[in-house]
Amino acid sequence: MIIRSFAILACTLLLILWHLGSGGDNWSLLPSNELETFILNEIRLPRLLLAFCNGVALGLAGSVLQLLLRNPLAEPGITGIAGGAALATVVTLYWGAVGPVSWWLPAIGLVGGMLTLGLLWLLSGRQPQGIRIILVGVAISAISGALIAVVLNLAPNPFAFQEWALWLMGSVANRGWAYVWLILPLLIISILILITQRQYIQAQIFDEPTVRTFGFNESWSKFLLLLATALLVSASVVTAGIIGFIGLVAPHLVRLLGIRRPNQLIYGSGLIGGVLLVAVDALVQTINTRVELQLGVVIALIGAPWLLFLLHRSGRV
Amino acid sequence: MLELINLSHSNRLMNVDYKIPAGRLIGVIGANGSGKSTLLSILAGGLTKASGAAEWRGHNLLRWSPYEQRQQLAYLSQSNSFHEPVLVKDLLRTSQINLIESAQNLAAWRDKSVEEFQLHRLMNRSITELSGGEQRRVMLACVNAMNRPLILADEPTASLDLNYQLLVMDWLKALSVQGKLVLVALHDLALAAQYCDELMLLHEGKLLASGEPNQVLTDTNLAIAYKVNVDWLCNNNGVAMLARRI
Repeated sequence: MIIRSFAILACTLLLILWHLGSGGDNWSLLPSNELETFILNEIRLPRLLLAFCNGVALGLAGSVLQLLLRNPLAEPGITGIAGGAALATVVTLYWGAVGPVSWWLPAIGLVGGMLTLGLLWLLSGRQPQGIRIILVGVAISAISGALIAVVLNLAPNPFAFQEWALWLMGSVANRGWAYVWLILPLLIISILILITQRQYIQAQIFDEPTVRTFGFNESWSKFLLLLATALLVSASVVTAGIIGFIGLVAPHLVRLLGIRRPNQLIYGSGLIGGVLLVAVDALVQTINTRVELQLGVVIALIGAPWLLFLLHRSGRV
Repeated sequence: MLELINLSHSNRLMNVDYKIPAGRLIGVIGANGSGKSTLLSILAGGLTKASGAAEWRGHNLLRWSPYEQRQQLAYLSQSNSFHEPVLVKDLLRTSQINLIESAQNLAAWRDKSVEEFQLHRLMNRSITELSGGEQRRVMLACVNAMNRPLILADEPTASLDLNYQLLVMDWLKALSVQGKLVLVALHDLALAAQYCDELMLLHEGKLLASGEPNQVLTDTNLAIAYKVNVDWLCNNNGVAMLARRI
């Protein structure tokens, strides 16, 4: 156990060094002049933290949804919240109400995510069951996906189209500290909510009718868990665009490591998600392409085969 | 003592009145859609829009908060649906969540459950690896470890082989003998006749007949509720039935 912990710690340190050193023509960690110090402090460090926070947020959200909805294929996108936040942002950009660097943009994205949560809750009924939340969520995300496509097609010029499409695919490049300070408080609030609901999370190992007799205020607890996931997903979308598959894969990796208790599963997924996203972001910077690859693309390339593998193993293909 | 007074839920359950003393095993029977599950769900707090009352220990069970209800009753669900590969010992511990009891009592009840249901070998295995019968045994152990005075079981013998069906009924009977009130929804009328102290026969949401099994399972009642003619075969070992559609 101790050896394994040390191995994980060492790998994580190496990963951080790899990430911090990537990005230029050559790998360089120790800054030798003022410019390199500036690059390390103002570009690489916030990028590392933003990647980690995003991975944590998506890992947490994915595992909470898999537990709550009792569906191993649930991921943040399934609730439609990511789509809602993205739609709000793209629509705002289209109307040109605020510039692409305005502080209003992430605020509007957050509001979009929260409104989608409200819609999801209203349409799911008084005592929402997992399968109903999934169906409503799938419908909402289909609608928001279609509307995003329409807005993209209405883009005033090809440059705007390309810029928005790239933003949707997810990236933590060139964001700076401001975005770290945006996601961090939301991450902390969500984790606090998850901690207050740890008993309810633990109870999710039983089936829904049984959990209903366990003395929880069901609707309230479910709402709080969905609120936490909505905050996490919206925070991720407004700081980095839509990054798919991390939320799906992280919980399954944790299960493969032999962690089974729901609360350990959730925080394990957060950690694994964070480390995974840092690794993918370092990879993106290391691979030499004319335009930097988008995170969503790389993760989909790794994540989609993984999903097929899971499907194959569960015998559904 | 559980007293159902004018218990109703939209058109699924209508004006059910019944008094049940503690220490009895009560079978709730009736055709599909007759209101068996509705009755149990109302009592278990799963359906909120019910009217009427269920007096239990001087309080109306329906007006209690979920947390107060939790202290009174344990619920055994119809199916084993486990989606997370958690260990049996974690499941057993989690089943006692939200109970106002000392840690010593809870631990003692768990140990007793492990003993009674012979779970020693299964404690460190994951629930999703177990067979249907073993999973049911774990669920029974969980209900036992909660040690509540009122037990609601919704078709606990469904999808079990003969041996486990009898085992489940034996165990429910044992709990009622210990002084608990056990309400069990059943499809198998032979099991109901063999084990239950009293039966409640529901038909289209109404209580068609109630009382001791031989008063309830009459030809007329079964013809109305199930649309069948029945021949009973009884000896000292148990009861079997032959049914023909009318």
